[in-house]
Amino acid sequence: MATEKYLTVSALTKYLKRKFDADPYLGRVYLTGEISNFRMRPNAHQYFSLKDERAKISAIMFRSSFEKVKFRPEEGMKVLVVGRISLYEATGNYQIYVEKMEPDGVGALYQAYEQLKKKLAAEGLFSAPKRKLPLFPQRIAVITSRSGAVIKDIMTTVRRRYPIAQLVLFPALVQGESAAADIVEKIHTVERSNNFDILIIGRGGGSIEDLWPFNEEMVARAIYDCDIPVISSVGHETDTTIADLVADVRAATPTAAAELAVPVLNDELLKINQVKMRLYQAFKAELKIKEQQLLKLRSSYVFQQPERLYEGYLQKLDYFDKRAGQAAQAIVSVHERRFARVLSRLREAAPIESVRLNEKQIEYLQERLRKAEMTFLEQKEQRVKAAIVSLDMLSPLKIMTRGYSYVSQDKHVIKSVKHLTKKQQIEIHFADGNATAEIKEIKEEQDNDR
Amino acid sequence: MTDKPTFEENLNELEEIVQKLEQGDIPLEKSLEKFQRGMKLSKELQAKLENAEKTLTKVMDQNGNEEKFERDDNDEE
Repeated sequence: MATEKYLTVSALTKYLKRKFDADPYLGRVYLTGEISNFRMRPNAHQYFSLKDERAKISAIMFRSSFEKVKFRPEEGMKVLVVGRISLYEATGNYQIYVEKMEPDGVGALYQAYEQLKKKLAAEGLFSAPKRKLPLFPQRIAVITSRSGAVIKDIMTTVRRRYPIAQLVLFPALVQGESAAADIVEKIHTVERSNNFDILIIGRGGGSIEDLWPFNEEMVARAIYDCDIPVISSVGHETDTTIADLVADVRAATPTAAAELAVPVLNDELLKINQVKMRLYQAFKAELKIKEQQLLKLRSSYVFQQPERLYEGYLQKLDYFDKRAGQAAQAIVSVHERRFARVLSRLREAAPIESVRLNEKQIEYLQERLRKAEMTFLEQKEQRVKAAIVSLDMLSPLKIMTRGYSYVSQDKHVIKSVKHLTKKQQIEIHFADGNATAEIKEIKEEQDNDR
Repeated sequence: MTDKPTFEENLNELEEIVQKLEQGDIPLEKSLEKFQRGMKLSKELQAKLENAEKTLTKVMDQNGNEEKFERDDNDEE
């Protein structure tokens, strides 16, 4: 027992690892299985398992190897891997170090294509609005191989249709590992030049492997991000690459691409001529219309018979005149009628009867007056006669005939002896004449009568 | 590249002018102006297309220079 030699774990593990590494079969194993326990670790080594119904093996894929995988591994996906078997001493696990991996069943590239297409579609790269191609490009960039038929076809077509456009070829690798990067670089170069109107990216037909660079994500994104409209013509009409899908226009062939890129010069010249004709005719027509309008206006009655302008006014004036006359007449009539009414009322109310009455009264009164006057006069006459008789009776002359006389001096009757003086000359009046006398004596009676 | 109107813009303007004139309803002075502008544009456009040089295809070399590219010139046409 004592002579037994004990091995360390390290020593044993080292021995076992050597067995794996030295084995002629385990150095390169082609293995098919289902992916299990896969969790994507970005920019790192990938750890997962491969299994079938009965067994399971750990797997590791170093970053450098994993970067070449064209598809995205998924849980449960059946894959074909190539690798070597070895033992990881730290855990004592044996595992397969995967160098290449592709999907089992459908072709690896097809799977990758479908996956990228799905991804970019989900991002909206295909459905994003397409840029419009300029109608008259001056400079056209072409990214394709220097030697392929693509550039030749494009040159021929452009020269035939629109020889005034400048074609510039950006020679690029169009197949192989580094083609995608080269194409992307050329796209960027075109963009940087900043003097191209259209970019054509082209490649002739080939297998899916040949066309692969045009299915690379970096190429798709470069086309998508390109600020110049891109026409893509990759492969035959039946092959649709991601580049075709993301480009602004897809052309079935390089010739079609060139036809899409440029118009036909002669057609354009013809069109311009037609436009020119239209312009000329439109203007001519316009002039004619204006001329006719002028003519029409000039033939208007306004200019031909200007008097017609105020005919209406004349008529109106007449009308108003007539109306004014009628109105005035109406007013006069109203007043006339009123006057007539008043007059008749006045007449009816006139005091003819009373006048007559009064006249009669006056006549009557006059008659009475005359009669009264006559009576009065007669009476007066009587009275005057009587008075005359009386007067006659009272006349001093009559009295003097009975022997009375009166004395006066200087025509003043002397009624009293008091007015007499001695030797005063007086006149003594008699009925039949006068006598002058001289006072001799005055004898005044003292109140003998009274 | 420049602020100068492009060929397309000029062509569009010409087309617009023609349409406007064809529709009528423009004051005479304006239509005369438009007509003259249209004739000028069409002459320019025509000249641009007719007098443009026929250009040869070029190729961008490694240094970013454009060179003549005359591949297959012989077997063409």
